[in-house]
Amino acid sequence: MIVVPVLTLVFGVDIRYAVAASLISIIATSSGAAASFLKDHLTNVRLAILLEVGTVFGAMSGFLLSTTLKSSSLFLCFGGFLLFSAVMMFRQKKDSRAETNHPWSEKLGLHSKFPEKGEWIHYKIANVPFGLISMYVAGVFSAILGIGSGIFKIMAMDGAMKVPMKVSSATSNFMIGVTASASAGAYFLRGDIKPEIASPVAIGIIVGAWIGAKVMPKMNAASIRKVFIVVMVIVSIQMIMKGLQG
Amino acid sequence: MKDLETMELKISKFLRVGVVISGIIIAIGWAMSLKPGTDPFAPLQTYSAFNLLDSIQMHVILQNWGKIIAYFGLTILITLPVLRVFLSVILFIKQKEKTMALIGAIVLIGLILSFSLGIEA
Repeated sequence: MIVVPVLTLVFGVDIRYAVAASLISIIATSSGAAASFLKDHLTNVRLAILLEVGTVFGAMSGFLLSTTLKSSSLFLCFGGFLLFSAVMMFRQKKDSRAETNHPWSEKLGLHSKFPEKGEWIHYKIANVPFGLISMYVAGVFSAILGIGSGIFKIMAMDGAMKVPMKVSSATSNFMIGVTASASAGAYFLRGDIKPEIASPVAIGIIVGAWIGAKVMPKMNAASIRKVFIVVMVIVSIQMIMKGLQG
Repeated sequence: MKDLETMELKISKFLRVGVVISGIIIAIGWAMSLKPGTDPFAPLQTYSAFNLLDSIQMHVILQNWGKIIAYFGLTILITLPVLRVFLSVILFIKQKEKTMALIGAIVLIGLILSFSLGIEA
């Protein structure tokens, strides 16, 4: 989420190269973290694979759409996305459970269980078609803005499909690598992923994720969240201003 | 179901190793291509369409081996999720879960189609 603004606003890199390089960071994060979420039995693999149909085809559309968008439109879209994300991070979330399985969930065995406070919590999955459509939209945004679209994925899973929050976060992380890979592969072959930027971004993310995993448990999550929201608002204003300048 | 989670965990551990290996290759390539005193981002401040194959050919001619190595590392990293989907499809086929295998295959085809858009564009 922060790679594109840093590359464009600080280093002056063209936003199209920045978006493509950012997708590399998402693949590294998702592929690197998937094992720990699976180990904790939080990822719903079957649900992830089904929803990846939506995200991958969304990413294809997003890639095609990106070829028609001007840089200024990309800055405006990115600024708007950051503001939206900041607002969403403010919201109080609460888990709501589905009473009945959607027929597709029943047929594909998408319902599952996860551990919480020493016991297994069973959950059902609602509104699968809406989830698939939302994932398509998430895929479009992922390809255009070089983001994981995790926030859209979690919103659709928590809100419409009634997936427990811990499961939706882990499942979203599992999916974002495949979503990002869909458009990253296209950008790579088109020549938009340049080693000059993608290399330091990839190395930084891999090393950063390793340090973060060691340091984060010792830090105050609520404080980090507040600082992050403030940074997002400031950066979003700068991105919007850059977009308005043309 | 239990087997699926165990096997997916193995796949994910394998992917984690893949991320580290690709990271090392990218780091070697990047270090080799660094030129002290120059701004590596300067040529990227304006966009110019130059596809991957042409870029690689140019770096081969100019003997920029660092860039070629970095491209190789990036190729591994980008294809890791594709490999994960492919292995999941194999897993579903082995478990005789036809519908899930079909869904995985659709994702795989989508990924290949999406990659090919980069050649056409």
